[in-house]
Amino acid sequence: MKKRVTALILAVITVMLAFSLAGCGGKGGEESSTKEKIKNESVSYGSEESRTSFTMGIDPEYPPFSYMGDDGEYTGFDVEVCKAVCDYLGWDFEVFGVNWDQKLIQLDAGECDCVWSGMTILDSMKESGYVISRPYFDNEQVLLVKAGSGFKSSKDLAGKDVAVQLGTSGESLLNEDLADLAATFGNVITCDSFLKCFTELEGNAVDAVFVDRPVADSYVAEHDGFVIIDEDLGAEQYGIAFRSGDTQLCALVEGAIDALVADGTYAEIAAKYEDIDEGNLIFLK
Amino acid sequence: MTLLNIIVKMSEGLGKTCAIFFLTLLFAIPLGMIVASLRGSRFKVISAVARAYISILRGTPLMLQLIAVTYGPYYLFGFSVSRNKLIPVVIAFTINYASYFAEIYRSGLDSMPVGQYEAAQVLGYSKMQTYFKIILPQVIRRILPSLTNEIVTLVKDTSMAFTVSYQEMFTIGKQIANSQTSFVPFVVAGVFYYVFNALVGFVMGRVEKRMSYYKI
Repeated sequence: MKKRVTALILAVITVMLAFSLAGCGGKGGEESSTKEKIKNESVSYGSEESRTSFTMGIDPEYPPFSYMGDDGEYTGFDVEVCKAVCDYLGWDFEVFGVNWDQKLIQLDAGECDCVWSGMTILDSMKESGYVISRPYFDNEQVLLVKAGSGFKSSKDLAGKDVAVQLGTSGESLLNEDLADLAATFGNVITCDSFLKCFTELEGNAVDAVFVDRPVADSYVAEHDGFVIIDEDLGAEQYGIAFRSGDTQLCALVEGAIDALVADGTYAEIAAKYEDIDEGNLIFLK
Repeated sequence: MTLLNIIVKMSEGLGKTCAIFFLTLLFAIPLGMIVASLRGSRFKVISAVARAYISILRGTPLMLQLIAVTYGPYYLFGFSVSRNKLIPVVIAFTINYASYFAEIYRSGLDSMPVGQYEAAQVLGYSKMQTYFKIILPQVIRRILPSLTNEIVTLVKDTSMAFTVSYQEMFTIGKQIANSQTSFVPFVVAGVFYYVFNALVGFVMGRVEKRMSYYKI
């Protein structure tokens, strides 16, 4: 009997602990105050004149914007532009591969100074206080399917399985603006990288991948047997995210990009990436 | 999204987490016993194969095995990737956990005094009878604490199924965390795992007590 009472008390304590923990997390006030604290600390990186190095946060599996090149070094359009910006400003250039679905938390934690990797500007980022650069790329979301599958539009995919990368704007779109379309799909599968999404498609585990146009173009160029459904499902723009308060840093980087555009370096880099349509590069228009 | 919404959403994934957990236990415990028996086999080849199995499965990360089981058949033989991800996930978890269970089980078998076998023989028990009626119950009693340890780890390892896009509880938590830029789902996940393991601990404690009959 005594043991039963002890067990009961322990069970009650466990449940209470569980709820109090959950309660803490639920209180918006406390949460945002810690977030604020982290942000304030990161602001104390000080004035930008004394900056000597700059760490770029990328998704390391996002060709053609950021990926590991044949020589094992990170490369891609965004990476090369950032490298040129650092050269221009005299900073040491460093790359940090973020976990894409945690990118903003990692940015807040100071693991990188910006997120710059084919990142779609979302209203929620601005609302959360992040400093977002001027948009530099016009993107659209498309569906990639196997050639010969006969899918001609998003309507043909009713009841079919579609893969999307976790943490991408495509995933947000399917949850929000395109929720009605997503509801017609059989299953929406979230993968932790695009390469897995594509493997799922290759291996017939899904029928389509919902992905940014340049990523799809780059994949189709390198792999036979895939086609892009010609249907614009969501127009959006890429930008660079900085921590809140880093307006000065953002202005410096934007200024450097302007200089690179003016002296032609930017166009030179863009020319190296055939999969990136220059018509979509806003600064080159 | 309110806390309640988050909990409800994540609870939907909890069913899939439980599916991995129970199916893995169901298959891995018997498979572990078989591997342990093979490892102790008199035939050197069989014993060597079992040793190699344990060595490889214990020596490589579960995450890698999940990827290998899910995508390996496609890359090697061109088979389709399974649409129902529960199948490859349970296969990977089972073969991985069986290797650990086999070693735990062996430690129990090795700890049995030879006198027990001799006594059983004198009393006229057949080999099968000795094994199932005398040895096995005592072995189970002895290995329960290590088994509990491994089962608790299994609960937490289910989150690894995310690697192959199986939408279990933690995957859903990550999706919510991402769309809401909030840490709350991780706290909820922590509570879920803790409560799950508290239950496992409680049940295993009860089983241990039941089996204390066999205590020597």
